[in-house]
Amino acid sequence: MVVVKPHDLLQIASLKELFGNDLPVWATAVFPQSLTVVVRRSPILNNQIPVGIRGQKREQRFATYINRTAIQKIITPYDLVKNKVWNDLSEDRKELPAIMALPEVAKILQTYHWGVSGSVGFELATKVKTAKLSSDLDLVWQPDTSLSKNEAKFLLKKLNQFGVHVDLQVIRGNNGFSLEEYANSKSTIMVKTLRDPILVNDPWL
Amino acid sequence: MEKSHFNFDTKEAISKPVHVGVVASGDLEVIFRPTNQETEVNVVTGSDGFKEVWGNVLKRFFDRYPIQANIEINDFGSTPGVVNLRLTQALEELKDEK
Repeated sequence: MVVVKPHDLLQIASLKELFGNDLPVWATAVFPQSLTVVVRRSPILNNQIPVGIRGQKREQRFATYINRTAIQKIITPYDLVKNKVWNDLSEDRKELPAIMALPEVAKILQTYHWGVSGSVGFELATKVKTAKLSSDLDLVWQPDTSLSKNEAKFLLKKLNQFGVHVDLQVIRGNNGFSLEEYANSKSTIMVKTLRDPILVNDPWL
Repeated sequence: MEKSHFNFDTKEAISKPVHVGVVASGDLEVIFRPTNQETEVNVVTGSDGFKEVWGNVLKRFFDRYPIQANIEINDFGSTPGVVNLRLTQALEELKDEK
């Protein structure tokens, strides 16, 4: 059975694969362009995968489910980096700050197991224009070792020098936390889990 | 982008400002500031049409923790679970004497 993780992008055959009949109007209009859903951080029960539909606007998100059997193709955030998919975008899309930063960010993260999520990841995977002038660059990273707060600050400083806010989520199993929160924290850190988020003192434990 | 404003009649003064959360998708920033005025919450969110949901979350919070504060919330499409956790975290920081 294929492994599906939060942030993975799943291609399905049609709108009909989505559970429920309560799709908002914007979703029925936008979704057929990509036929791609984003795996949400939520438990998979009875082979029903929690997924989200992304619209053009930030507030256009819709949560639903698909059956595991509906998956036609899985694109992970890490695949997008391996294949340097940003090179395939048109010249005008490459001028968006969040996309323009990618070749430089890739140099910094050369030895890291990292991927692109968020609106930029969705655009890289589907070629549907989703990233905006104001988009953050959302990244995921699966670390081999932990970072000290100073090391985290140093890394974030390097990543944030390209005119776009880089939001790096540290992924451990199905959980994730913000490297920025860890770097600046004097107390607890929020860790997102498949169920409710939790507060921890040391997110690396 | 939607701005909502709420007032609550809560009277337990807080002693210091606290700031929790991050500016990132699926998350929010919560800032508590001491005040001697009426308790006030200003929410700025990218997700429109949730004023009632915010009202309910905040009412439940102030029913349990009747603090008097000026509160600023900047939301970036967080889930109710994340909102509750950030409010709890802010409270814990208030209690933290360090």
